[in-house]
Amino acid sequence: MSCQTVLNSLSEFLDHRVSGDERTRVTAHLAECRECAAHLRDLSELRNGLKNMPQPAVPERLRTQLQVLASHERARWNATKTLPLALRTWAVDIKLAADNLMRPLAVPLAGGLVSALLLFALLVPTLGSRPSVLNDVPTGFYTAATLVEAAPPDISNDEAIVELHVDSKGQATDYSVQRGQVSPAMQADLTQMMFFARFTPATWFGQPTNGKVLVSFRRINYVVRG
Amino acid sequence: MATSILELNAQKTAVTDSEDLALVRALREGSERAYETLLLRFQQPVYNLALRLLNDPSDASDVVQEVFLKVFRNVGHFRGQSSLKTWIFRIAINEAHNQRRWFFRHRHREVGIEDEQDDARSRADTLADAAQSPFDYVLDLENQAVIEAALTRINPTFRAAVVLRDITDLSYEEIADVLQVSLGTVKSRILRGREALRHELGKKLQSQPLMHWLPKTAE
Repeated sequence: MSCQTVLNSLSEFLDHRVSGDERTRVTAHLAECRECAAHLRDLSELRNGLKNMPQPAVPERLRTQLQVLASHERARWNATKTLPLALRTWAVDIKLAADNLMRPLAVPLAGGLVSALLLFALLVPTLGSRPSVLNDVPTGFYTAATLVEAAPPDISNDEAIVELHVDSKGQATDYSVQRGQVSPAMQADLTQMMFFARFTPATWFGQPTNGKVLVSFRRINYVVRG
Repeated sequence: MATSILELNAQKTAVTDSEDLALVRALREGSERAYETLLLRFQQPVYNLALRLLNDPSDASDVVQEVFLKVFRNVGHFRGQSSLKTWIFRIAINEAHNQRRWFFRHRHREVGIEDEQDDARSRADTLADAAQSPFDYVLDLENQAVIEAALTRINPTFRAAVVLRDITDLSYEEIADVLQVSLGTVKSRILRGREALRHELGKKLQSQPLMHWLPKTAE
């Protein structure tokens, strides 16, 4: 019997899984071959070392966790043994899942709803149509300056659109020609008109402020026949 | 003689099988005692197996919990084609394999910061014999540490076979059942695992000065 054959069967020999003639042959070889015998001794010591390794006790925490696990699983198993019990368990599970899902949302949802209702209640009075009051000055908007009264100018043949600058006291302070040509004669007329004209100043949130007024000058010819 | 041993083993197996089936029946009936019995019988061997395969108490604890969760949930599918022990050990082997695969994917990049003192045990707590001499104690410690370290360095496939055979003390047939491989594969894995261990231990001993503590008479 060759050493290689013996070495291949040493592991099983050690575990008493070699019997009959083969065991006799291996035993005979081991008695003669010191290397194979040493090999067997090594394996035997190794196996004894493994067998004698300490068995670490199960940690106490793990024991407790396993008991809890067993308890839960037993309850779960018992709850699904019959159909009515299973249905009841599923209903409880679904309700619990729904509760767990909705509970984190409940407070924000209720808070948001109450806030929205409160804000809506505050805004409701402002949403209704207000009764119109004559000569009421709207305070929330800009109102443009308006021409109240002006002396009729001695208009020449020129036609023009002029932007008048009106201060917060309702006095025209300057002008600029937006369209058309203004002759020197018309400039004199404009200056005169600005001096005597009265304006309602522009307002911003109810307070008089500077504004502008566009004034168009156009000559209209009436031809009377007859 | 051999025949009588075989008959004795067969009788013992039959008794164990009937006990297993009774336990499984009680588990299916939801008996509290059955759950306790199952834990008492298998929590220690499953923990030892997981610990030897993973070499990490925390991972071993996770695996044990997963194993028993699967056992409790799938006990209804247990048909008794194998023994309860091999069925549970098969689940443990698969879970340990999954855990190791997960570890190599994720955990090797992590650095633990928690204190493991809760689960930490002194070596003396784990020794079987507390009455040995200090010399034996130290020698045991050294041997165990060397073997444990060598065990972690060999191929996990061979390690599982060696652990099941030499530490868990399963028969070749039971190991074949647990690992779902043929008997020939089991023999090969045990042989190669032991040889790999022997090789690892040989390397370790060569790198250290040899000390032989043999009793000798004074000259």
